[in-house]
Amino acid sequence: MLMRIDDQIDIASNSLMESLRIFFPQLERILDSNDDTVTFSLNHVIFARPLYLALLLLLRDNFPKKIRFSGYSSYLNTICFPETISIDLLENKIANWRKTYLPVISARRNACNQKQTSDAVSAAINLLRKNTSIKNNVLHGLQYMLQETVDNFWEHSDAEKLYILCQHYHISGFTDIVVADNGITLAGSYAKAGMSVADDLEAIECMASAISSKNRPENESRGYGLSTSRQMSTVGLGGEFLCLSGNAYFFKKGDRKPVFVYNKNLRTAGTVIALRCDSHSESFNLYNFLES
Amino acid sequence: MRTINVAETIGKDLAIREMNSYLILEVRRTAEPVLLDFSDVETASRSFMDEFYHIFVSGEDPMASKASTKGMNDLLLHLLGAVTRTQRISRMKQPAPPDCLYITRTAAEMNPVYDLFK
Repeated sequence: MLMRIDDQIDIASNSLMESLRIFFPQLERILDSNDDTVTFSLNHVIFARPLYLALLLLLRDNFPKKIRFSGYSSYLNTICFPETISIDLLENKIANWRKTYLPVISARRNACNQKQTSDAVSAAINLLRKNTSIKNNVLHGLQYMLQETVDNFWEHSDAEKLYILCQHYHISGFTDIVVADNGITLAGSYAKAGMSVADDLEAIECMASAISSKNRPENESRGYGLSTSRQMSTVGLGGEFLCLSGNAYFFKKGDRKPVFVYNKNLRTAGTVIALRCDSHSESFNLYNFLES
Repeated sequence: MRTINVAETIGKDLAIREMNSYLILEVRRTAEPVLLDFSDVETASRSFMDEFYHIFVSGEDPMASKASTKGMNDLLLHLLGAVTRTQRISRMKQPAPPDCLYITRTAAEMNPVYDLFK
């Protein structure tokens, strides 16, 4: 049987989490339904944020039911959703790109190499440099955070697929970056490294405490990647940091205390890192965060 | 001494820790001492630099005695400095318990969390 989701999507801009306010009720409806095929009708997408689109792509790729999309808006067509642009074709695709958002970039572990992934990050940053007014000090921070999150794809996730989404909002001055993989989640990564974590919540607590699955007894220097990115995006760039991994979620906004959530029924595939940054921060200096 | 242009060998932007493996291959291929020239490298991730430190700088790996570096820009030098200074800092072994934790079952139960950040 076919289930159709035909919601009007107009996600508020005030927080990254507004994407979850839309996505999780839809996921719940799918879980509660006996239908084996679900079609998202995207005719009524007024504004979809990168995080929401990343979650739809992971759902399509990993959910036990068949997930399809139909009726794309011009915005979705422009960003190549849901087909995405493979990183090896990115350079050609964006040669004359004049938008303040990127096409949805995808990488398959067995079809690309680390240099291509690294080059895709540079291409994305160069595009933002060319098409937006984001200051150079902020671009350095964005590049650092993007590099660290894609390194996790290669180093920890065991994922077969990676998505990178990016949108700059000219009026508010915010830039959203989302990196999503369909891998073994944080808990799986810790378990694979022989570290005992009880569940997704404990794994996300480890991430928040900068405990790396790659630390060694004589060398505890690792685990700075996400920890530094969290500090940069929230404290340095006055934005937000969000991590979803399995049934656990971590949110931090500005200098407020972080919030952890464990939802017993709503599980996302792999690991999703979403960052929001104030692109016009004059005082941000990457070097101040390298040891945090 | 053989000079290896790092940007030509592995790229101008070094995001991935494992990209060091290409440099290792190049250095192993050469019997003589090697100068790793970073002049055209623009950025690197901390993960890349951490691995680079362990292989080519710290002396843990015999390859360090064979390789020297030149031409790192300000960012790369800062990263290498940060990596060097944080090697032996003892870090947390157990996660800190969260100050603010919500255990939920449904999508509706998530709403108070979103409202916190409105």
